[in-house]
Amino acid sequence: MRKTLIIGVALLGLTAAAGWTQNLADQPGYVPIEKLELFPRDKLSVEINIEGALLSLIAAASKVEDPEFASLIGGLKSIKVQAVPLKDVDAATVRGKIGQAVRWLEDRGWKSTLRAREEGEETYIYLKETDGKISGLTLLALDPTDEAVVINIVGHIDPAQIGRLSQSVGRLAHPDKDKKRK
Amino acid sequence: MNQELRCEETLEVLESYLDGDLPPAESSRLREHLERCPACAAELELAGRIQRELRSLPELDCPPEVIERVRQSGRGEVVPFRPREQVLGLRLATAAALLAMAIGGGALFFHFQQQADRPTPREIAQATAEARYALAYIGKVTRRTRLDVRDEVFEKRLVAPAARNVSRALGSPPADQSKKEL
Amino acid sequence: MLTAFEDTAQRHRRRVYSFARYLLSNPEEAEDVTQEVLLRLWRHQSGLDEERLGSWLLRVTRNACYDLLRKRRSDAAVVVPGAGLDGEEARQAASAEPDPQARAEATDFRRRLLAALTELSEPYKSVVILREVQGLPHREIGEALGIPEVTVRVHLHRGRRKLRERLREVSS
Repeated sequence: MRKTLIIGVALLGLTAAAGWTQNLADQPGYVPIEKLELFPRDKLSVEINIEGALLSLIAAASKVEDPEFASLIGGLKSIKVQAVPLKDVDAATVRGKIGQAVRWLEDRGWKSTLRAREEGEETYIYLKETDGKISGLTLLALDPTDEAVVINIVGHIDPAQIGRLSQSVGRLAHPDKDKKRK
Repeated sequence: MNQELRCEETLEVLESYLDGDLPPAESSRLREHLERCPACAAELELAGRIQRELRSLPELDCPPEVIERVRQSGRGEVVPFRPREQVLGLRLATAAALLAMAIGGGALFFHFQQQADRPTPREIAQATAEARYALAYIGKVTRRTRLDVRDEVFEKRLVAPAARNVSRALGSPPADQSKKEL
Repeated sequence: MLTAFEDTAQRHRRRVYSFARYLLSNPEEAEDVTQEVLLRLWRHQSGLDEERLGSWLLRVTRNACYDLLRKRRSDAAVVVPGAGLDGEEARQAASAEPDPQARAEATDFRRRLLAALTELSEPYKSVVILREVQGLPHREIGEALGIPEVTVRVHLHRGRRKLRERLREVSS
């Protein structure tokens, strides 16, 4: 049985959504990963979209118990994640799409901070710098034995803070929306 | 005529002998040599003892909590590291449990634009878990590429140059990068 | 499906954990690797051929351990040779000996052997563990590590030779 594991965030309120989307798209650190069509939407195993006011609410809710996490989230405007298992797609195509995304980023002034290739694995991390501050982070990774993933974070970013939190928040689990409980 | 085995040949056939792959005639030559050569006999004795010891090593079993963490992950929770890392404990488990309930019910997550619709506490908890999930992904990818994003990538590649740019704009000398706090 | 996965995880977890534990000599890291491997199994189980499952699990385990070992080197972490391996396993060796002096010598030999195994480099270490400790046939080791059977034998022979050299160095 194929497991479809989706965490999705759907927009409510078309008028408000249109306004916010336009605003977000103007942000220098924003990457339109849906428009870039890196991965087939129907094959995604993970999809996360958190924007705007919800991030503020997350920060407020976490402030007491995890102030550093709250501080990071409070400065953000958007978090997007997409992941696709490579057993379900043509890996060469995905690899090509990732290459296109890298060129897209570089054409728009994103700075590479990590480019790693080893044993078929590829990892890219790009940062967008605006007025001396980092306004966007984009991660692209492909593991031929596992999956490909793209992450775009928009907002005021402290890379050291992201590095600390990403290492301490916990092991990645894979939520299963479709799992039926008996 | 059966040639005698020399010491250097003995070392070569010794491994095949240990594997039980040596033909009978060769085994016989080997035994004859060992009767005359204490050094090679000692080598075989040591090799045999090592093999016996290795073969008697037990198959180890992981503590039951590892399987429990896998079960939690299968239910859709970001699993905190063990206590030697920073553990987010109860609040993560609470958020994760809410996330798991939502997933088990097949619910999509909703996010709300600006002040249009205020999310419920459950939805905020779900989105919090998603945000942590996104950070965990960054941690997973950077661990896989054996880089600590905080220490290696950002500090040396971009954060320092950005700081220098800011200092130049203000007309003050660049900060001492060696003292840069992470 | 959760029950079927749990059944698979239970069948293979000892082999995965044991391999990781002997490769890393660190129980906490071995737990992390086991958790990651079984999670990856969870994600990919529908696409895996049951016959190749064992080999696949070992290969993923070895690669995950490699990642940790490389990070350990870049972090310049101090690893105590044999750390995490010598307690229980060394005592098991001692308990089989009849007299105290023989028991002490047996414990000491096993401790030195485990330390030498910790220091053994790849690819020899993986092959020695899979063959001598976990008892896998050469063909299965080759499938797991993606190398020909003849290469498995070569690595095994060189690995055992290096262990002997190390033990002689320590003794002298």
